[in-house]
Amino acid sequence: MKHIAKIAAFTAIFLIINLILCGFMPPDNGSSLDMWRSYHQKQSIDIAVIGSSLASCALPEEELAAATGETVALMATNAQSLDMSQIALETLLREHSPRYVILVMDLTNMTGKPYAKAQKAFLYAELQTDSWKDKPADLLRYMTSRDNFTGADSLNALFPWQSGSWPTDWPATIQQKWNAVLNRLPHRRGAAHAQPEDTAVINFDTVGAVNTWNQNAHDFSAQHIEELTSMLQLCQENGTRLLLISAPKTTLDVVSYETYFDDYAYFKQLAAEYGASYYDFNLAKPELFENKEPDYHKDFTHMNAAGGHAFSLSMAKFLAMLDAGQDVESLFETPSEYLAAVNYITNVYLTPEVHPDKILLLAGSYHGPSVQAEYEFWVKAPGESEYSRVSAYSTRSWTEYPAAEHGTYQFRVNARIVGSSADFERYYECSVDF
Amino acid sequence: MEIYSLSFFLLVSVGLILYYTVFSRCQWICLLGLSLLFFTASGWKGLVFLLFTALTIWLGGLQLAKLDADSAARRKAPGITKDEKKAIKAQSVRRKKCLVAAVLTANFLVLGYFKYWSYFAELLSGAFSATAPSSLGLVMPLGISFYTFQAVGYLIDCYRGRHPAEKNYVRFLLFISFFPQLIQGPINRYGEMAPQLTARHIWNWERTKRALFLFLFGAMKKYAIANLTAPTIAAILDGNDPKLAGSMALLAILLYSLQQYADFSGGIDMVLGVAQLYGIEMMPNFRQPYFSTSLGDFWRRWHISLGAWMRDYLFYPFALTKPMQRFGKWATSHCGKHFGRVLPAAVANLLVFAVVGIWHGPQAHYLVWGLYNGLVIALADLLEPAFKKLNTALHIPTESRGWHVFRIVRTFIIVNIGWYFDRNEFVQGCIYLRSTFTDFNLSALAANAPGAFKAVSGPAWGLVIISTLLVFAHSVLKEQGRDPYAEVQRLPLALRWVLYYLVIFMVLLSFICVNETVGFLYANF
Repeated sequence: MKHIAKIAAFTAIFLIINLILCGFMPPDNGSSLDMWRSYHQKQSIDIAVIGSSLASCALPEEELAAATGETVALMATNAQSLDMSQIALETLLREHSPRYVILVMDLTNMTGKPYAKAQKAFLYAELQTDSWKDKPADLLRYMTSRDNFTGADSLNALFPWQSGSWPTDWPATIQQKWNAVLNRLPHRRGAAHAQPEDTAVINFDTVGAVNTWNQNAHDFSAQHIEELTSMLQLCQENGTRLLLISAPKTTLDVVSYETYFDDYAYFKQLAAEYGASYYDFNLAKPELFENKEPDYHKDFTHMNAAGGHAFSLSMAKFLAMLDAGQDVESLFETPSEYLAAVNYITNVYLTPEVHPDKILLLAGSYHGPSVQAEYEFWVKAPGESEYSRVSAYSTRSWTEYPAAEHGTYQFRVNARIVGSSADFERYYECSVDF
Repeated sequence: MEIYSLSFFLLVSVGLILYYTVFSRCQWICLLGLSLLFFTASGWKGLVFLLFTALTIWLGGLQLAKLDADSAARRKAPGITKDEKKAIKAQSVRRKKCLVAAVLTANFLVLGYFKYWSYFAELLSGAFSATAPSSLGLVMPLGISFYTFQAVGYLIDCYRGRHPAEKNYVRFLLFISFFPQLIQGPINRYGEMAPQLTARHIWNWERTKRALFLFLFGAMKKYAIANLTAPTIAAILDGNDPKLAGSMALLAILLYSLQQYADFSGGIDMVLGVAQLYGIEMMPNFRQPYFSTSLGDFWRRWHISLGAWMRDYLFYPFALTKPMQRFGKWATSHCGKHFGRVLPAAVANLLVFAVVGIWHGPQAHYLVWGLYNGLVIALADLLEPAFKKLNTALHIPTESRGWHVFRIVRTFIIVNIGWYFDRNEFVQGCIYLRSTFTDFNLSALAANAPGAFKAVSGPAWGLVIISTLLVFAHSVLKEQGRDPYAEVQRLPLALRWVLYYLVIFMVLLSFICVNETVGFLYANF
């Protein structure tokens, strides 16, 4: 009896310490919590949009709901990986029978390495916002899932405070948690998806070489292919209509991605294997969606508020056409039609290389295959107020600048289509310390 | 299946309940079931190879016993002459040797295939890559090195007549597959394990507490030290920077010495604790190795079961072969008694440590590391008289505490030089070692170490420091011949529980400091 009492007391204190830690960690400010709270507030869901920030920017929940007149659940968070989307989809199909599930593809999700802590935070956010009667079953399901049962996550699921980061400002964290508790009280509960207005517009003359291709690995990992296939299979088994889509992005992000249309063909084939459909809205014809650049984009891959509004209207129209059984394939260009229409330079970039006695200027640009670009290089040496030309327009994309003195040099490259009479069509500036 | 997982927890806890209740009269069957379940969780295909090893070795043992019995019966036949008896015995020895050689070759070929085939297939520009394990959908069976060595030890002990052959294949299979030892050893001996595995064990509260204490201590070492130092070590060394400052390389190697010990000994403590829960005492594998006073002493304290295995089944058999005995005689007559005794041992040591190196992996740096250890031990033995004379000439008080501490520090340095080649590819190891001595650059440490430490987040380094202090205290107590568990039990209840909660929560907190957990360094061996 003494032993049993000791064990009980030891366990009770252990649980109390865990509860105290839950009060401090993780900080209650994750977008996952907002998303799941909003999800759990809905009694029924007609349309679900799943994905990463590409999804939440392209199809904001309130916009799509207003455009379609239906209940929309946006199950998308920043950097949401495919396995997190899989968790979202499994929960959605277990609890609801949506008419459409729109999975917004993010090429980063097919190539990137999973970030374990983000996945845990996502799951714990779901458990945290679950109703009390569903929590035990959901927790057990997670602990015994194929991916977790034989790993550390199966036990760590019992300690939700592990999912966050160690707080660096304890008073602020405690205040935040207290505010979150107050906000969860019924009379304080408001709209969970309070998305800030995003009116930024991309400037193609400053974006440089920043694009999805340059920032990520390129080969699809077997794990991510399996995750995507599992989602396709799940929807097929449930009889749920799944739309796999690529949301509109800037033309530069399409033409700069070297395997874009190989991946496009792959997604089309994969979706078809599981009775789903893949639509790339970058190929949408103007009568379906006119992708206005730069107005609709805040960066090379994300839509801004205006873009989200316009695309939501377009998506509502598209879904109505699908419901009516209309032919939607004719509303999309083929890859070659798309590329033929990119008869301009989307942007130019400059990559200087510093050598002991000179600066090598390497330029490049993104454009359609029918376009040939030419480049003109300018320099503003230290102390000078005006640019002076280094080399005149030519199709050679590099030049050398024999730097004479140490200091900060400003370089500019102008680009235009060969044969154009414009002074320049795109430019890019950068500075180099020599 | 990781040790820290729901599946392992359920396996052990449900197993314990069944072991002490339903299977109380045939506990070994329960252990076998648990072991096979644990093994197949890592892939059922590996079971074929485990069963192959168990069957061939078991049959080999039985056949050895049969040969002995036949030989004995024939030598007792009436009217047999002395010369005939000798011939019968010689024939029996020859047959036994052939049998042992055949069985060992078969099993080492399987081990070699899984450990080395892919590496050499790649070196041959993929000529044989179609037959590599991965190409055939085969994963290295869990603990293949450990259970193969364990089985081989059994067979050789049967050959030497140390114990009778096991007649029950299923009981023998349990000895090979006993699940706590599968992950990373220790390499147990049949004579010590078999009686325990088949004996009846009654549940004991004190033994359970000890086992849980050991398990928790091991978990602290693995998760709150090893897992938290690994990312920083990788951040410093895995960039293969030829210009890495010597101070940074040294920092990484010192951390690696901590990580290696914490990872391996932590894992061993955890499995020893699990085995203890079932009343099975496996052989200890570590004995405060960083308190060693020589490299030879280090290898009697580090991975003890492997060292003992190498000593009993490679070192002595090799050193006692006729050629080595002739070599010893030659050395005595040409170089004196000391060299006559030590030179054969030195050669045997080089062989043993070459094998130890290769056992770690086929890459050149492992062989270099192994040979380095063998060479240092060999030289220490060869130069022992010279060192004694030097100590006397310099009036060094060799019995003093200061000298003892000096030897510990000296050994630590020698071991860490070896780690340069254990952790890094050969060329990189050379570059890092050279820069440690020729380009130390202390200011680079101040500039770069903080960035490297950020490879882990939160209270990681606080956890590492506290855990390391606890490990140090534990080691000091053991070195003094005291029982750390008993010392902790002497503390007041409240203080004891504070210590337990501290260790438990350090383990749990460690998971928030890293993006992903890593397995044991010596798993997949």
